[in-house]
Amino acid sequence: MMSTRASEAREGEVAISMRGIRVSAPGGAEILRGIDLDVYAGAINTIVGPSGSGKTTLLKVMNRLVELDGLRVEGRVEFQGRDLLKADPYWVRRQIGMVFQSPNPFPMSIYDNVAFGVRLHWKVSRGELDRIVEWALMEVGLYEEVKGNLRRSALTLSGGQQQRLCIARALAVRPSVLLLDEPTSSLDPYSRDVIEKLMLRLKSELTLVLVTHDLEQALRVSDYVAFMKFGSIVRWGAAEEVLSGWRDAGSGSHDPRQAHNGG
Amino acid sequence: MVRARGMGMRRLRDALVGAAGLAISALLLAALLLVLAYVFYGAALRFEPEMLLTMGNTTSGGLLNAIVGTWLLSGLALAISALLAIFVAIDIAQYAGARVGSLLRATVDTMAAIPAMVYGLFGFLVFVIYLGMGYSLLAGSLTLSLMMIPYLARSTETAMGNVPKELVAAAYALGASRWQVISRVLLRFGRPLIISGALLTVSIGAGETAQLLYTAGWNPGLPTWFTHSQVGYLTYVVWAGINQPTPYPQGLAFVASALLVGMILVLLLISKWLEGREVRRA
Repeated sequence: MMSTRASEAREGEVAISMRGIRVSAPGGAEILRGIDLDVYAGAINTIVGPSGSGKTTLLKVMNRLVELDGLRVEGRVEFQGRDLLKADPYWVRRQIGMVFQSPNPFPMSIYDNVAFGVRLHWKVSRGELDRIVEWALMEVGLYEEVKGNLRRSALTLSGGQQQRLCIARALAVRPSVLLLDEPTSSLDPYSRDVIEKLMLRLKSELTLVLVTHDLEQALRVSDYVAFMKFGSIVRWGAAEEVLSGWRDAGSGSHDPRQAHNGG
Repeated sequence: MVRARGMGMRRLRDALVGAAGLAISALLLAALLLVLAYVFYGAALRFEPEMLLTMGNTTSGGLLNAIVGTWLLSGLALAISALLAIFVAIDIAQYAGARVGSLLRATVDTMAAIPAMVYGLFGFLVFVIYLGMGYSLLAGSLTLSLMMIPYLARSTETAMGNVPKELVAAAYALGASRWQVISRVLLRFGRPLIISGALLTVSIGAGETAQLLYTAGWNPGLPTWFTHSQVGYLTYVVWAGINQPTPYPQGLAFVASALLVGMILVLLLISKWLEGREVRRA
């Protein structure tokens, strides 16, 4: 039942190509003012910038959750040879998974959480579902910690475990892209390290788009970085290049605007 | 100094408001306890076991026909209104903010404000006469359900609104369709509150008389079919028995009242328990 990822982009190729993306609120206020951005396959593509610069909105354009907030989107987003903005949103969201800022497992068992998305899209046998759940939990390194306890409520897990469960839940429907909206901002440093290592491992299998406030984190994990400010991308390129300005500015400043001014 | 006096006044006012609130709560609680004591004490004095075991006609015999009739009427009314109310609630939730949503919401609120007697008249003219159901279980239940729909729609909408937005977003992000989000997230995780709202609605329905006088009639036995067969119910016994000059019908009225109040209290307790469970789980 699990189709292989058709027309999957290979490492270094562009997985998602956005051109002229404008997002506005019903009142007319512009949140994104003409974004051009390429997301590279098999890499961690990071979006950084101050709060309110539109990072999360840009992320939500990629899986069309932005429409649920009642926002208007213009532009073109090429993904697997079609315009993502004109495709079936349910198809888009199956291809492009998302992990949110705070862990949001469903108030059901660990097993049912991972199986949730699979059950939305496919009729699978019990045995096959067991295999998928086990695989997804292994992918996020949670299986050893919870095996034998899969019927336990997901809400009994720690924050870091819950977030990995949410990643497993997203992986279980086999997306080719995973969007991560500040996935570690509500977690302790240990859990943050675990998830960063996980992201680095996952990029060999799929494309990751990370939104983060944390420039140290951006430095540690990113392959490509886009700096956003006031709804526009002000710098965009390989992580080394984009972040060097900020790094050269000295460790005293964590303000992304420094990097922009420096470049 | 002025400022200090201001603070004192404010504190005094807070204390007064607090005391007034406490006094009013105590008064309400006392009134409730008085009513409960009056009903249950009166019923206990006049209670005879055959009242629960036999059928009767409000002046002699028992209440079995009225007990069964009350459950049949409010159960069927709940089934009818649940079906409609869930769709109304989904519509309201889906179109929240849009014009359709506010129109529906206004309609539902207006429905809740219409007096029971008016629904009774409507039920009599439409269900009993025009649709030819006669005084019957179906006519009574349909009329009750008209009154129950707004309560149920509102409580279902609130229950669905209480499901955390993050869970809705998680489901959409996994590629769920609108209907899947409604059925697998909103109705599923809102279920304890939806059921609690339904129980409250049943207890409101079970306490109704005015509409049933026009639509269900009265039956000293059990109804034989959904239409053209009248139904007995507890509120009728209270209404009819209390005016009788002899002690037995008055006793029936007291016991019928106690049964109704007891039934409603049990439904309330179950619904409170369900709400508590919801809070603990979240």
